[in-house]
Amino acid sequence: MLLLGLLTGVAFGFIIQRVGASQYDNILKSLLWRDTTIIKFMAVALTTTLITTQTLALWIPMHFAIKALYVWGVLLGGLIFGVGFALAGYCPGTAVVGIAEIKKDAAMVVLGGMVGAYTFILSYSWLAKYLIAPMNLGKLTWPTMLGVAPIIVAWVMGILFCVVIYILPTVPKLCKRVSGKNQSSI
Amino acid sequence: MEKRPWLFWGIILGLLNTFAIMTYAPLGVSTTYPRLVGAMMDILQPGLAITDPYLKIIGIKIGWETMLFFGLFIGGLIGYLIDKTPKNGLPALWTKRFGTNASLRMVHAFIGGFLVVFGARLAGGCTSGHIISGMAQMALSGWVFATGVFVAGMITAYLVHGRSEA
Repeated sequence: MLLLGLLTGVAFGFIIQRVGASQYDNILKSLLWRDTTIIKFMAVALTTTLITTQTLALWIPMHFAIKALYVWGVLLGGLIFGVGFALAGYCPGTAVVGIAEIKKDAAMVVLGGMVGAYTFILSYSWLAKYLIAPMNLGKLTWPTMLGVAPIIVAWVMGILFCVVIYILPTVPKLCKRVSGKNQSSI
Repeated sequence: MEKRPWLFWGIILGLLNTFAIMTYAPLGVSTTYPRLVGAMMDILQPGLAITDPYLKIIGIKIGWETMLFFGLFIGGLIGYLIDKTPKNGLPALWTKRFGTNASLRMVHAFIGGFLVVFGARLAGGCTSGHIISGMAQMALSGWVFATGVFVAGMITAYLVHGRSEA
């Protein structure tokens, strides 16, 4: 199991590095809506997983792990994460890849992350009481909420995602207009 | 031909996550941070891991997820070594806005790193666990997290870079 985890991680790290998700510029360009490559990469990945896992689940058991929706903690955590994501230009996984690429700032992200993790451990009891325990709706999924079979929701959602990914421009026009000087390079 | 790295690598990552869900669990990274910190705390203060309210839940044993974390480093290194033009100086977009002050970049990186891991732990997952894996499992928590990330991320990115043109 340890070797399996390691090999899965090696593949994961290689993919992140190849697509350029471990580069500050690419993350920020996605957030600034100037080049949506990384957002589209994430969307394609989750759509692929969505359709293949739900289809395979009809025949073979899968190790799904649904995370609980405790509204305050998940939303506030997402907002805090978003601010950090835009400042760092890395997320917890891509920073590890960044260290392998000998980027000093990626090492600082991981160091900051360790301090963040330490702070979280120390403040867990308080956070659990006020942000995690209240408004906990449990492991809610779209199929359970809609009362529709997972395989149907998966395919409908998957097709919708494909349409959005297809329509969403990689380099939005809005940005071409804003940065007219750079148009030739696009 | 238009280059579409996001399509190719997106499908590959999607299939890797399917493989992970078939063999063990969905991809996820951020729990490893408190687990590694917890392991260090447990060395300094033996027995802490079984009494601390959070470490008790996540455990500090080295498992699949911890190995995944180290694998990220090895995979990144392989990719880096086959890269013909390594990009590991200060980010171009960042220097365009702030100049070549490396220590300021380190401060941003540290604060950003603190926030991403703290936020991810509060929410119970990060980009991989909540978005790439969570949304792929049709979990509502993934959608709520992703909304928070992109709203705050886009506002922050605009506040930081908005006025300096691409």
